[in-house]
Amino acid sequence: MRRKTRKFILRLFFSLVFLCGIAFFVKFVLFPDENAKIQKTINMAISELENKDINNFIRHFTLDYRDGFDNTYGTLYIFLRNNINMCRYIDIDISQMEIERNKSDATVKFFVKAVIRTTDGELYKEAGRFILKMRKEDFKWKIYRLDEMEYEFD
Amino acid sequence: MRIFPENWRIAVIRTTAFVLVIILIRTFALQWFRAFGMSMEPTIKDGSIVLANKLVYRFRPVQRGDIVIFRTSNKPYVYFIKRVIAFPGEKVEFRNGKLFINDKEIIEPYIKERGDWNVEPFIVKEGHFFVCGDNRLTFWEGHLHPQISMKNIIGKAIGYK
Repeated sequence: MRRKTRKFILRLFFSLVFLCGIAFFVKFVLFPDENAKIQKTINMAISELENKDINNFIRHFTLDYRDGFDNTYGTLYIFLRNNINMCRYIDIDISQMEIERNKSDATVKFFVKAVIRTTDGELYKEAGRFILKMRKEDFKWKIYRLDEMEYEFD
Repeated sequence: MRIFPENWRIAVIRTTAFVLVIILIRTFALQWFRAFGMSMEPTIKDGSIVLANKLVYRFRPVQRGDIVIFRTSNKPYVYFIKRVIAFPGEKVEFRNGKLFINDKEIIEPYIKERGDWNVEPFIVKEGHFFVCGDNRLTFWEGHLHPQISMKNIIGKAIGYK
């Protein structure tokens, strides 16, 4: 192959990489869409829970929050505050996230794996599928309902 | 300055072919999973890598005692690994940890400690298999004991480490 052609291919390649970088920056950093904001909220909540930062974690929930374990905003906060220090290590991994959204209401389905090691050295491993209901309050997406999905087989 | 090797076209074709073969094998023949949880202990320990043969049930039917990998019917998909215990129409019962199928005691050599499950007899649905974990030391309610069909089965576990 001629030198000129090689140079042209290289230039084309680096121009494409550069353009992709700019497109990524504009799409995800400058103007993230609502789905990206929802995803970011969930990731932030998980990171705060892993860091045992309960005060910031609970800010992602609405005051009328309810879940399938009979928790309210208040009972969830008290439960976490009383028990979080018993955890030495929390690792939460979310995958297969699906977001269905209308203007100010969203349903998020995902699969979660959680590993918790207590200060006593006990190890708990849980996995499950959950449905989060979120709505927009003061320009922020907040969780108002959490339920575990039943496993279904044919 | 030399950027590409002399035979770069061949290198690209070889790499693409290699990636395609890997994708084909993973899609149709073999897939690996990482076990999460203790329901199959002591046979398959938590964190083990499990290799599933996705072709085997195209050539032979599911057999009692097979360790199968199956998944939920709807998204988000969750994959499970359990042992096939009973076939369609069979009556299953646990008495003091002993497994009875059609009122006959079944010897389960893969169980280390039997536990003390007591489960009322039930019939496995038509077209379904009853699957169960090897770890019988946890409560019956703490396990998932689904009845699954062939549609749910991904493959047979052929190796785990």
